[in-house]
Amino acid sequence: MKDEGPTKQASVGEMHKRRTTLVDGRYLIYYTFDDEGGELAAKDEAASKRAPDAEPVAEDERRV
Amino acid sequence: MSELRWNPLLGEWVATATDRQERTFLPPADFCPLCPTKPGGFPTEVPEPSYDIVVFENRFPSLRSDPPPPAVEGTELYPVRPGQGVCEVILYSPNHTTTLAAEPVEQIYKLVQVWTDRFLELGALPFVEYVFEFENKGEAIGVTLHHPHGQIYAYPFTPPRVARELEQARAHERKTGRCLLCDVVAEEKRDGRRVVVENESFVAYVPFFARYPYEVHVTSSRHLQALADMDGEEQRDLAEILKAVLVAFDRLFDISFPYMMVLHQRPSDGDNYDFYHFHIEFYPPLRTATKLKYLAGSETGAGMFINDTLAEEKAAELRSKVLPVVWGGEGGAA
Repeated sequence: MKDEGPTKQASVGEMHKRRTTLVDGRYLIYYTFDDEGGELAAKDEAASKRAPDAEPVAEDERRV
Repeated sequence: MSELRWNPLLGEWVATATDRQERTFLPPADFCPLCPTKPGGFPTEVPEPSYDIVVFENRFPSLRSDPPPPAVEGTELYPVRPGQGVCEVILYSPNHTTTLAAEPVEQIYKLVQVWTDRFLELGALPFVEYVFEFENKGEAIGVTLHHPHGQIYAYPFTPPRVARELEQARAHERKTGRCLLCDVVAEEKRDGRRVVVENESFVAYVPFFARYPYEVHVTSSRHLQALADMDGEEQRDLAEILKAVLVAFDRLFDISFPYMMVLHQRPSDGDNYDFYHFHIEFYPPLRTATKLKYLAGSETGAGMFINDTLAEEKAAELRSKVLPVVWGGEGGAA
């Protein structure tokens, strides 16, 4: 087995997770990487600026 | 109904989960519950129109975090306890027709990271003693959904097969002062005939004691106990060797090769398992392109496996099918 092409280090970025609750109460977690995670974080940050006093919802995102 | 019943003959728990009789069975691709929910389409398990990797609680779990009381009262001979634990599903890709073997090595690396995260999060739950991550692939194994996915069972006890491995590893360490799997890896590398593929951090081999014709174990060269003990390079090397093994499996008979893949890591009960050694085991059910290795009387009734093949010959077959793994490629190996 031998590496070819881009380096392994550059191939996949940081992992993000976003937890949601399904209608029947079970949890579901979206895992995203690289730009997807960056876009997600930017979206949530924008939402937070629009509604700084909003009640927490049943969603949580954290970087791992 | 979900509960754990004690088997005093073998000294192990059996889960009864009657709700699972109702689970979805081989739906048509247009009604796959594991695909993303498309705009205007029927609602699946995943509400969003796409995803990368998703984990969710199984709709038909064998174990629950808040289980109902057992259906029957236990006795001194027959203890019964609630079926407490967690059962999760991991979706590898939104693509219904792909497989882990067909995915780019980058996607497998992402999966390794998600496995690690689930091992840590579920293992931290107070009622969880062991996190078991696995995949059943192919109708020959009995899968009920074709969409590429794996599963996680977070048990309230250490399951019997792992417990037996732990006993053997502990006994070997006490007898020799060495790790059992470190000795196995050294012996396999020294002999070489059963090695399928290796890289800097892992070796994949058909074990000397293989029970299935194409059984393959993937073991870390460094002595560590879990995915969470690996550094980034080791996790990438794990993705790479898994990709190589999976592609070799598919190339063996030019079919999407069925298998069970199980991760053996340390228990999560907080005790010291420094003597144990992380590895992944594959149990493919095929012995030829069209014939299954059945678990019949001897295997099931006596626990005595009979392998009709030589590990050395099967390893050579698989080794001849290994391709270089390409990072940044379009899914397959080169």
